[in-house]
Amino acid sequence: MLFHRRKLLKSNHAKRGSKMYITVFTCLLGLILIWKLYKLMKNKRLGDDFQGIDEELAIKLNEGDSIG
Amino acid sequence: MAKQAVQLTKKKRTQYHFQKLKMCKKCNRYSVLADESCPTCGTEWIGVESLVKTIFKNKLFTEAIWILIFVSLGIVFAPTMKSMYYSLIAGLVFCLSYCLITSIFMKSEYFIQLRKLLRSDFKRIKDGIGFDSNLAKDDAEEGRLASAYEKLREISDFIENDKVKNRSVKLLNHIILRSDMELELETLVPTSYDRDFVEYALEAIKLNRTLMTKKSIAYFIQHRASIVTDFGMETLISVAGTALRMKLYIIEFADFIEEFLEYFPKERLLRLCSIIHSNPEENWGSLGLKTRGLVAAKYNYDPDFKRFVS
Repeated sequence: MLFHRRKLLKSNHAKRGSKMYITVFTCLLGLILIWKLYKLMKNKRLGDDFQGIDEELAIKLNEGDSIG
Repeated sequence: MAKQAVQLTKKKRTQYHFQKLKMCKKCNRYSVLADESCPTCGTEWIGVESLVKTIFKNKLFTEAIWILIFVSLGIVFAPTMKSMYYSLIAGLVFCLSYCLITSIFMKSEYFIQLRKLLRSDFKRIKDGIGFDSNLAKDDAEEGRLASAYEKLREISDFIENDKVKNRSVKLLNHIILRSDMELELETLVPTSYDRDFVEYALEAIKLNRTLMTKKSIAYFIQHRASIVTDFGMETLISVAGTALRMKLYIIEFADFIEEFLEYFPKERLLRLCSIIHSNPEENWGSLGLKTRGLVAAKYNYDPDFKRFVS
């Protein structure tokens, strides 16, 4: 009887542990996904102005007027 | 020095200037020239876009490896079979979602990577262009004028200073210009008076009048005193004549045109009259009055001007 109770308790512990494991693991994956999405959105907000890159490059290269 | 007859290649055009940047992986040097391979080591250039794509791919690959390791560890350390299946499904869903959002934001991520590379490699880009400029100098010294000019033409897309413009103009003045050449003028306009530029401009507009744009006309007006001293009044008459190419220029430089009106050849005056006549809604001011007066006095019985004389 005692042995049977112990076995039942052990199995309940395992079940609870397994549930906890799945929850933590899924939460971690979710957090990584949210963090990645946040980073991508932040980069997207910075824009994709290729003309701006050209202008920035021209300004920097013409600073100091050294090449010529 | 006698002028050289040369063949100039067509300039390669790109949507953005940075697309012309390329790198030699062996010499670790950037260049903007049109050559296929590095003049130092002979290795083929890698375009800056391909370079960014490679960096971007490597970054995605590293991220994918980390994700796979994390998901695999999650599966391996699952305490029960049931949780192992759950982890596997969650891992798969996660990987798919990760790939999906990465592909949605691919363009902006590529842009960020490109900007990062150009910012971090700026010093090397500048050194590379400096090296290209020295190659152009060597070509000019050894008499390879076309090659030297083509190099400077590419450099001037990035470096916009009077030194580069003056060097280009000096080379062009030693080349026999032809109408089939892809000549430029507006990009060579310097900030101060340059005799070589005026000499080149006069030669170029003889071959192609469309080269004379607003900026070039404004330059001639700004430095008219020096130009008259060096090249004579005829030069300004010729420039005022080219300003009749477009209605916009006539309006913009009306005073300048008016000054040389009586020196224009018949064909130029005819052009001015036809533009004024076909745009009666425009306020031509004293230019319109003076043109009508001149036509009445000089070409009153000329059949070509008949429709303008009322």
